[in-house]
Amino acid sequence: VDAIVVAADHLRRETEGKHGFAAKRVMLFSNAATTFNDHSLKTILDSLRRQDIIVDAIGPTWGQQDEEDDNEENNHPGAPMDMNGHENGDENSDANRPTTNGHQHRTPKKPLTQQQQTGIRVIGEIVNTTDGTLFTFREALTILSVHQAKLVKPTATKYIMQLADLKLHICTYIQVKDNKPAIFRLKKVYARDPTTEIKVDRGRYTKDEQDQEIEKEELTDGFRYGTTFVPINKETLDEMKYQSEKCFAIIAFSDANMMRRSIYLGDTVYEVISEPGFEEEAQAFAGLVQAMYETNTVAIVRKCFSERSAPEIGFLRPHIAHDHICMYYIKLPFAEDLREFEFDNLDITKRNQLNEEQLKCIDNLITTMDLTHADRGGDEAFRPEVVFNPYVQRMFQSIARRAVTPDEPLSLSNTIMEMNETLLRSVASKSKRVLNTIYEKFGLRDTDRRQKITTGDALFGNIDSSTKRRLDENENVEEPTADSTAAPADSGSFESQAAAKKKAALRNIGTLTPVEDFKLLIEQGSPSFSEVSKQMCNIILELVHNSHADALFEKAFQCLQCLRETCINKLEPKVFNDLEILLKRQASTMDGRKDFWQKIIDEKFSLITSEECVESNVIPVEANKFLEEETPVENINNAGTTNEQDGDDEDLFDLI
Amino acid sequence: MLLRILDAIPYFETYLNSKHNFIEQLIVLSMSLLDQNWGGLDSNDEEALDDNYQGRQILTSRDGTLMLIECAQEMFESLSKTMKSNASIDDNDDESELKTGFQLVMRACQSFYQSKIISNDKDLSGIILYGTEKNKNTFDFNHIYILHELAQPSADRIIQLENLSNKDTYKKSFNDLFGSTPSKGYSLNEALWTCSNLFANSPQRLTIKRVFIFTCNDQPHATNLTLERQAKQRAKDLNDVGIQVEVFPILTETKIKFDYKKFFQDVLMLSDDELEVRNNQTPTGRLDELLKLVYSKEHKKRAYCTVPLSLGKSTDGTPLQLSVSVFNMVRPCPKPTKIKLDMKTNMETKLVTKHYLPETAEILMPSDIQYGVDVSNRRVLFDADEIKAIKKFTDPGFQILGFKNLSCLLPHHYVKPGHFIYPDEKYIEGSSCLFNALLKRCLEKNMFILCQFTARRNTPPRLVALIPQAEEINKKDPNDRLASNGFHVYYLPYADDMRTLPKNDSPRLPDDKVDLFKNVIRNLKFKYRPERFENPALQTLWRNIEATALNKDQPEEFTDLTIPNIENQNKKVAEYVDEIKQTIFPPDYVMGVTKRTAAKRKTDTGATSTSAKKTKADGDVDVEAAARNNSLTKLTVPILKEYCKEKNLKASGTRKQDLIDVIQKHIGIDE
Repeated sequence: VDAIVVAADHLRRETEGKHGFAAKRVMLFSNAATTFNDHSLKTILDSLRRQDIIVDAIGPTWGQQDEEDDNEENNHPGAPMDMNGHENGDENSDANRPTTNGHQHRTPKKPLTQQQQTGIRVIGEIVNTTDGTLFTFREALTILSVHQAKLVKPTATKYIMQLADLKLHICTYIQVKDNKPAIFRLKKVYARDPTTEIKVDRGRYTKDEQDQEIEKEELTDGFRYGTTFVPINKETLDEMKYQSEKCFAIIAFSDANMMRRSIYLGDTVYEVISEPGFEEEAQAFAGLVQAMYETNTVAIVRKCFSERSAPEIGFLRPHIAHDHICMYYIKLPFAEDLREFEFDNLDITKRNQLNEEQLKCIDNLITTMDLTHADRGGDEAFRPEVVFNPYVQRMFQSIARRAVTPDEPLSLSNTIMEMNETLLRSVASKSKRVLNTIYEKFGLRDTDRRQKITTGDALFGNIDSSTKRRLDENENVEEPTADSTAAPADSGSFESQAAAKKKAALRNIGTLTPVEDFKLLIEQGSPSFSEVSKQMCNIILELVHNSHADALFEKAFQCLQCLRETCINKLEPKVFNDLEILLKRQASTMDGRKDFWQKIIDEKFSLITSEECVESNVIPVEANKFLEEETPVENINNAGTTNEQDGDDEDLFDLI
Repeated sequence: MLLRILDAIPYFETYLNSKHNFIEQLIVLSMSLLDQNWGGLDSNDEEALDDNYQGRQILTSRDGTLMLIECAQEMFESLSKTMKSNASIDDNDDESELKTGFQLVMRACQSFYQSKIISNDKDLSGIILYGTEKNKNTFDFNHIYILHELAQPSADRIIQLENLSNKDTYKKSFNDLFGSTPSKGYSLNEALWTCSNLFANSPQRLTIKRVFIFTCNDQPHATNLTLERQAKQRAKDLNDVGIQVEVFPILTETKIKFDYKKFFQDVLMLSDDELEVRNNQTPTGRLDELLKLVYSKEHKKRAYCTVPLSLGKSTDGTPLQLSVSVFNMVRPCPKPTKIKLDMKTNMETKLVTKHYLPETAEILMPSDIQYGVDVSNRRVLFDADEIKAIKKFTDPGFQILGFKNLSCLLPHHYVKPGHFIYPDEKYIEGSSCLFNALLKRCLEKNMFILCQFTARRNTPPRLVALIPQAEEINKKDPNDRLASNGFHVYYLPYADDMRTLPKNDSPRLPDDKVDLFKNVIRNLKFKYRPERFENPALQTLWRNIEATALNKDQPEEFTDLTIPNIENQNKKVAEYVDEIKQTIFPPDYVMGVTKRTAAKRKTDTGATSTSAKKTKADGDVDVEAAARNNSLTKLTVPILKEYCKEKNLKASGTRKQDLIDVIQKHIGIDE
């Protein structure tokens, strides 16, 4: 309790003369086991109240909140009193957040001491007088381990809701929207001088060989109509635009059961309430909500934000809580937005028809993994209200860590899994047995196709740039872009656009002119050497792999030669040597690859030796021996070969 | 090169061999295509593409359609009655215009082009006329005229077709261009060969190839058996290489009946049952479909991604997975993209983005760029790779966390449009069966599956609810499937996404008053179906672009169904609304009036609101007074803006200082 005095004093001194602190707040960490002085309590309370300081207390348990017998959780008797002056206005106090908390709940049960019980009472009193809140450790952990993004002040957009002749003033607020903290929009800065922000120049050029720059004044808006270009200048376009007024008009009502969640559109849920200050209209609004609620209907609405924006269609769903009456607005699709794909009925195929046993084990699975009451106290587990976005958490953490220790690599933790580990583990352990039976009863068989894909992609990462572009936004992601494995098609990404002037935009090595691509990329110095050489290895393997007879061997060999030279120059013999080891191993396991290996031997294309490159730890004798050695005995069992080869790939990837 | 190959192959061989020849040609053809770009595109086979782009197998899937139109003299006779009445349903205004079969077909082609431009302008189409006086084709066949090569549609083509269907101009244009031949000796075989040749020469890979034959002649080679046999054989060849043939019969005054049995049964390869159906159909049904102008985008059924759905690990650690394809069923239809054109040439331009240093104007390479964020006066730096790593959590896929009752989904749990999943057997065999079992049981128990979903390698995961969906069929029409079976993927918000909002605890109304509203609702109820409403802004834009491209004065008309018909509504509920007005509102109350009078009303009644709601005049005085006192900066931006609007002042920017500058200038001039 003395600590509160200290904290309050500290706070007062710190904040005196300064404005702009929204709230003064003391976070009290206590197990309520320390002694305190009853007499001074009143004085302290008074002074706290005078200064508008809010005391939030965090302790192991506050009795009334957990199990009735008050001993559900224990505390470490010697837990140090911890305290922390924590001002709310400071958004950047990420660094001193108490994330790692030694106090763990769920240790052996032990009743609270007499001392603690009185302590709890007193703290409760303090907290109550100062309008603070009591938290248990568990609650506090969820709150504090979470980086709160800047609180958004709710702002209302006003409309007049029209229903036949009724016109009501309403306000809409954003209730749910994907939270993308503005701080995550990173600036592009110059790597060698981070204080300089990079400027972007966007120039228009003619789309022909001449590449002439066009001045802004010489440009006009237009559209494609088939292959015809239709120039339409801005004024005409504005005239053409669909004219609409700001509105929020109810078209009609529909049965709430017709509103399938799968057709919801847009990125926001709005809360709609009547605008304060219009009492009669508020009554009418409440009446409408109540009526809709009781008849289980929703209202279909045409909404238009302003004359300049396109109208949209959406629906209102009534919501009534004991202290709240509102409607939720969500956007709906237009006819053009629907894609009427059809899928066959699964029961038509005989293989998909189910027997009783199969259904029974699914029943079991659902029962064991039912989360509806799986959380403590029979609550719903994983309520969206308590699950935080792991990406947001991780990003804040990374920023904080990088700010404090700039030179250390980032540690990337914080997945939904980790954040809810105990719960998940208990569910998973329960379901294991059921999964076993499902495995038996359904006979799933992996066709191994994906395996091959993931190793190739994951390790050489050569689809990064195209995925990145795809990621830009989820909307229309499936729109066809100029996908192609060839590098020049990459001109969409900004990196290549920067290089566009220079020559062909290059980031990846294509199979068309791999040697040239490789050289250019090495010259460019970007991406990094290891990245580029990885790509090159991949290309070589691919060429050898896909070759009909020896059609592509010549090309592959040229690549190999080029890679070898570059590796020597760059003092990176390991890349080449590892590849050669892999090629040798493959030669033994795959039909036809032996010929390529033979070619390597014929050309005396040995490992890079320590004579050629100081970094190499291969001595010349070894290298010769490596070539001369017989390839391991051929594996006759063809079925096994593919798998083994996959394994080999992975070995190499580990090495790289 | 391709042409030479084709030319080199002796074409006038006996037709019995021609089938084999043709296939050989195709093989040569496709191999040479592959040869040409084996390096660039790696390979055209789906396997490789699939490997590189999971779930995005198909690069381009274009359709090709060729219209093969007979131009015999019968086509220029007046249409038969049935044709007329049917055709006029769609073209009321043009009833008098479309007199002949030829005009009708031209109009159909025109509509087809126009619809294609909206629905999928990457698709190729072309028009071949046969039975013409003049020739234009690669083989110098007589009486075959390629009007349009296989290409994307364009405004020029549409305008040309419009000329050919217009009653004033069609005769002249037609005779100038190609003319009709009186000879009966032209060969359908040659016409079909021309079609397949056009397809074969197409630079794009086509997934669907179609030939539409428009003819009024149900037995084109009645007098020449050889020609008839050749044509049938050719049709079969086309079918063998995947070209679909379709016939649109045109009936005229003299040709009243079109009997498929005479000739086209063999061409279309109809079974006897199908023949029966065809002969009983009204001949215009499908033609009407072509004539209809459709402003709607076409969507190819294509998976957004194909990923594993993992149920967990069994005791020995083997993961239990099934494979699902993810589809997007509802997405905002994109507006036509605005492009920048060079004014001088009206040609497309391209955008080049350069990153440069502000001081030296030095162009930077990607490796020179880092990403920074300013935190407490310090710039924190990341590499592009690190940003990527932060975003990557798990490999793509669904990870089941558990099951929940559907009632756990609250009305406001929504963040963004979802997906639909359907099992995929390609990666994991047996997926459909397990999927089906999960679906059945979830439906029965009213449960959804809670999953963590990672769509792509570098996308952060989200919580999703897999909501079971049973197949729903329209009871009135068994062919109308309302919903397919599968799971809807429904995104759930995170705690960070939900905001705390002010509570609205206005008093509830007693039941008898609520009943008044129920009456209103009951009388304004309808059955919502999403396909009912078209997007007014999008439709207007499409129509306007079309009108500009085709030099029309007026765009096609569009009715906006989203505007509620207040009059109609009033008719239905006026009495209840009046009752509501009487019970809730004071007699002279005007609803929905602007805020200003409302504020006044409030001050009149001495109600709340002490926040200084100034009337306009007051505001003006304040602003001007403040300007004189040089204390404009103390006023809020909305007040300044309002003032500028009032006095018609245009600020150079939207920053406060810009507003202040312009106001000061204005007042300075005033004085």
